[in-house]
Amino acid sequence: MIEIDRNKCTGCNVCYNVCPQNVIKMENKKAYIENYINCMECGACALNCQFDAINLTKGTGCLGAIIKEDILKITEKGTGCGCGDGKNSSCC
Amino acid sequence: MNNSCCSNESGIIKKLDFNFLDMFKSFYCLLFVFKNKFVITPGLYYSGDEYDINSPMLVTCNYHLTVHLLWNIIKNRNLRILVIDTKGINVWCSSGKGQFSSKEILKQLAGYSAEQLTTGKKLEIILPKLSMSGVSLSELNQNFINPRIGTVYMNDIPDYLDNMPLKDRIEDKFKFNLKDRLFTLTPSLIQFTKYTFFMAAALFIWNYFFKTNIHYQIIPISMIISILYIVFFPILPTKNFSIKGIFLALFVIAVFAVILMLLKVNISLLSSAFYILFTIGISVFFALYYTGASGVSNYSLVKKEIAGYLPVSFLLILSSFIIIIIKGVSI
Repeated sequence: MIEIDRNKCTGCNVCYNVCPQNVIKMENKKAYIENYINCMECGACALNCQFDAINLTKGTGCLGAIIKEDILKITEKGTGCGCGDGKNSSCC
Repeated sequence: MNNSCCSNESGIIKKLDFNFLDMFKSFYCLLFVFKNKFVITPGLYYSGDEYDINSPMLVTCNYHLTVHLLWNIIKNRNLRILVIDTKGINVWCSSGKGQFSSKEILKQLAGYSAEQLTTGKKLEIILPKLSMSGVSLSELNQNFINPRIGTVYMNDIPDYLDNMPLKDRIEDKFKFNLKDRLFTLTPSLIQFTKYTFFMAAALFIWNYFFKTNIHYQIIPISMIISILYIVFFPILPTKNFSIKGIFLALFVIAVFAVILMLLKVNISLLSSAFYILFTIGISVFFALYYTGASGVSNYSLVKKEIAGYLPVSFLLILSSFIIIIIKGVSI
């Protein structure tokens, strides 16, 4: 899930600028989410918000990663899909 | 001037160039998208006639195919290309994992002196918009870098560069259109067929002892499902990947049923039950597999969907295999 704390939001527009799906909109200098289902939860907005106004659990939609990281919990976050782990493995 | 972006020592700046052999490397990358066998050495490159310190600087990953395609688009322009070490992974995946990051950009820039990078102005760099999930703009700003949010698609880069001064591409959006989806088709097919190949091998062994006559057929079935799913993804009902898969399976089953009726081909009840259960099961499994390649999947929703539908797909496939076992022993 993604949550925007309107009290912390200063209307700087950075989250709006970086969103690759244009799901963040601005209204009265406050950011809000429109069409949450289109949000990929990629984390671009939260990473670039300097006011800690966006609460989001970043993750990859990769089947292998979700099974290993979230369901079986056998690997750490961000390591489940195997991309670029130096083992020449495949994922997604 | 704060030159914390750069070092005091000069680094080697090479001309970005690709030859005939690189086409095969790129093709390999396309087929086996995450087998990072071929990578571009990270560092600063230039395109065009000569290195021009005043030319725009594009930042990209070191996935061979990405850099090759980028080079095809910009090779006749005087540009600077900073290739960062993303372990051979494309921009979107590496930024999601944090490999395409502001730290990595700063690390690569630190290999060059300020005199090599800028004429005193703040260093302007152009980032792919899809790298934003790994790049902190404020961190770059703090290091005397002016980051620009570039285009989502590299084909839009020439148009973007033609409109100076550079602006952030705020309205750029990842569309996941047919071209984007077709790009995922071959690697998805290759990877997914591996799973069905093992299933077909098991059925083949069973067929050796008990003549069921059902084994290789599951490979074309899963390939047909995969291709249709990718091509018709946006028009399959609902936003839920698995339900899209169920609808597609039912459609494929219906089409095959009509064809078999028209051809007056008789299939036994057990074989029919196998094909129906397997097709639905494999279609749901492919749908869940495709969440990672789709680029439009919502992590929280996909997580719930996988927890709910993965057991369903396994049960359907398992049931279909139990039917084949029964068919085998009952002959």
